[in-house]
Amino acid sequence: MNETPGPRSGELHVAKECSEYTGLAGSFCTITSSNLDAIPVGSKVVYASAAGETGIESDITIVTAQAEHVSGHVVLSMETNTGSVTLSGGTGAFAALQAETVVSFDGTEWHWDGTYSLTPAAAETTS
Amino acid sequence: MSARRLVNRRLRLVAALIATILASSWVAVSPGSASTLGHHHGAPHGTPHSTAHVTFTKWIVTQPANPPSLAGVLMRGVVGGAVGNGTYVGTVLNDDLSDPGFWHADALYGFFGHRHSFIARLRITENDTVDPATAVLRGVVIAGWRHDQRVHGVYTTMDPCPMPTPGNVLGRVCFQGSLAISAP
Repeated sequence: MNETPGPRSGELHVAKECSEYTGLAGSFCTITSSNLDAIPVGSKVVYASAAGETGIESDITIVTAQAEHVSGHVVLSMETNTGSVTLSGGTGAFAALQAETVVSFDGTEWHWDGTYSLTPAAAETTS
Repeated sequence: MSARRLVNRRLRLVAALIATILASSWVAVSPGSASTLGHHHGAPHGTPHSTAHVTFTKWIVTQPANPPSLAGVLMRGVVGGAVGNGTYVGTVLNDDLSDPGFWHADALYGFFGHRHSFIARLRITENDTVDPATAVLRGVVIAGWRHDQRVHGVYTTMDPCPMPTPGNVLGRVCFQGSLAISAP
């Protein structure tokens, strides 16, 4: 069930484009690159809350083409385009995923860079 | 006959309004102008109380659900100016086609530059009686950089668009314009 190719922990580097993120709750971004097979290119990052006064503070859900998902939370300052994203478990290959990343923007794509772990213990506590 | 007079009167009004907006924008960005000198001269991106200027080129990437209304369509594009180079995302919240020759709409404009990002809710009045069609925009920043500040601007319809417009459902038609953002 949690057979995920690649390392079980390490650095996480994800890029996404947000040409369909309007700031409204339910709008989303699309993963364009990922060094983790469990978060494949094409996955959608859906925002639960609308953008607020100074930026975005929202729960997020990453949804893959296989309808698996991972839960997370983003805090982003739109003043500086910097922030953080935490990922904390989900379904299928995501059940054991934990990650802490920082957010940056290069003018075209948004980047999450940090670390992740995919451990059975984490799966038991988050699923 | 009277309809033509009405259109001509509207044209004069819109032209005067655009001229006023352009004139005020020019004063704000002209080197050495009174408004520039009044605020942290030399600051590249402005202070929260100075007027910031951003540019955009946008195009429509989804088909309208109930044409000719454009309510719900998604727009993409690119931005520049005080936010830095980046991406534009917008959506039409609702529109009104009952005024012949004009398109009135409420829209969300998202500016995601490499320095700053913000989302503005804007009231659009597009004058389709002139060629190319032009629009005036007024509203407020509802999220992010310069939150709660006033926004006004203009755009012009470009056909063909002078830049690539991937996903454009209107062929080569795009809209190029600028916004001025200032404290209330």
